[in-house]
Amino acid sequence: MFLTREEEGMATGKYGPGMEKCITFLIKYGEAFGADKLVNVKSAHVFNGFPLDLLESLTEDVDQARAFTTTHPFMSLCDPLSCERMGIEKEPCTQQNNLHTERVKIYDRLGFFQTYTCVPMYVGNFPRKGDYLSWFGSSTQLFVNSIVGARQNRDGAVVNMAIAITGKAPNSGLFLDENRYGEILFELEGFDCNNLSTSDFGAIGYYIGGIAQDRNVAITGVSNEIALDRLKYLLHPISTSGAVSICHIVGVTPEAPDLATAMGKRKPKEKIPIGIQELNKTKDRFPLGEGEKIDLVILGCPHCSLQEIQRIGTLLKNKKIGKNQGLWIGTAQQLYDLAKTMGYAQTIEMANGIISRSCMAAIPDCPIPEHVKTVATNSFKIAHYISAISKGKIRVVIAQLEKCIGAAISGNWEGD
Amino acid sequence: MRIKGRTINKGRVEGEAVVLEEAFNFTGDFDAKTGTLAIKGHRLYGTRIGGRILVIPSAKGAVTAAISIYNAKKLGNAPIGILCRKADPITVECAMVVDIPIMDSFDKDIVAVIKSGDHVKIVGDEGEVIVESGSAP
Repeated sequence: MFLTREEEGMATGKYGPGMEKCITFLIKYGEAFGADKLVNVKSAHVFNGFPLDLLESLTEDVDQARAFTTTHPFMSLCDPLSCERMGIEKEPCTQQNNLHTERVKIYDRLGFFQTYTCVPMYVGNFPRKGDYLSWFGSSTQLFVNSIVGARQNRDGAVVNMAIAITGKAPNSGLFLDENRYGEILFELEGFDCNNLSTSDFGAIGYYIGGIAQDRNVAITGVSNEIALDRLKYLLHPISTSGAVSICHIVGVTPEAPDLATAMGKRKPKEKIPIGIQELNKTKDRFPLGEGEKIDLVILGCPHCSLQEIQRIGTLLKNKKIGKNQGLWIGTAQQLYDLAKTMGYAQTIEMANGIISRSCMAAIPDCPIPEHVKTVATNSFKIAHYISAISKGKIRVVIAQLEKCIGAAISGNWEGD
Repeated sequence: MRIKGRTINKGRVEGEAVVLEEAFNFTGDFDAKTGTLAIKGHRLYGTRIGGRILVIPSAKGAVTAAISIYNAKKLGNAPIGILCRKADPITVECAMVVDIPIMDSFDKDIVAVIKSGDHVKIVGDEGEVIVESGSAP
């Protein structure tokens, strides 16, 4: 691999042991996948769940991370600001929170922006087309490749942290044009995308990911008038049911002005039509028993935008969440602060809704309180993970945001 | 039997092989607390991977897999080496974070020729794997 003089200096300990460990790791890792050089990344977004000793080792004597870096949400619902009100078991939370206090000292030293969100693009980490990035989190990875046209690989947590520290990433995988083209084509037919709800978009994405697995996807039939929030709901389930890293939405993705460009002028290896039947069948994968009440509504996976919080606040004005119900909303630290300034956060909290900076789908280590048997959400990622992790003990249903809020107030479920 | 391959992370180790025929993941398919295989219904479910040499086609790696193997290593539950038919980024990251040898691209199909229980020597520095049948003395 070609190295600049500065990179060689980093690799020989000129900038301390942390920098040396990180760049040496990236060089060896990059060489395994044929990288010819390292490139400078514009930003990083890192996992917020490192074992302390590993984080200390990777950052030993590092004064400042070389990439502009934001942080991922709290995992396992252990946000110190909300876990008590959410009724999360105290003991594992205390342990996690103590560990977090130690991590924050390191983040402060490195100059990480503590966003605690999976949507860093909403809070100041805004990439441009062609930028090289390393962002942790499968749905943000898909978002930057597919919506922004920035370039990023499906980096694991340690590689990702090493890139944040050094500001350098191996030039391989999806950094290269030839690996970015679509391989499998999905054709949306027979419905008007402008009339689809977020949960409809989620169903389409969930269906696509299950078939595409880890192949590059192209989609036709989505209008470029579809709002960003809705595109987010189309994309994130594709990386839940599958491990897709790039999805060319023809007419929307910067690299996909037309189908031929998206496919690199090659014929798709497979063509799959998606109609209303596929959409409805996918929604039916998360059914609820007749007459069952909703115990908990979870929104914000991926984390809510300010517009979504505004919508939730408007729906909850002068209302209260049902006595036997709960409402959890995931969002970024900075959007929470802004929602407070605008008054929406107070409206939601007055109605007994809880806003958290946790990952709303990462329930395994600190389980959802025992009494919760049913969950309603507008997110297929939440439905997928909570169903799987609770081994079906918690039944999850899917509907658009308005119906979810209705269920949080009344406990009744009327279907989508 | 001697097999030649590409060394990605160097090292010399020897131990018992655990061979999986399907793509493997250090988060969902592996229990770091016990170091055992955690794929429900798998014929090797509960088999110890810790302290052994893992032989796999590739991985369907979750992006937190390296954290999982790092935690396993602290408990003495990480494998001592990994042999892949074709190494993927997440598995390479996993091997490197706990600094165990990892090799791929062999001149034989390792998943077919190595059996669980075989005694395997990884001579990473020379790009070589030596396999002794598990039933041999």
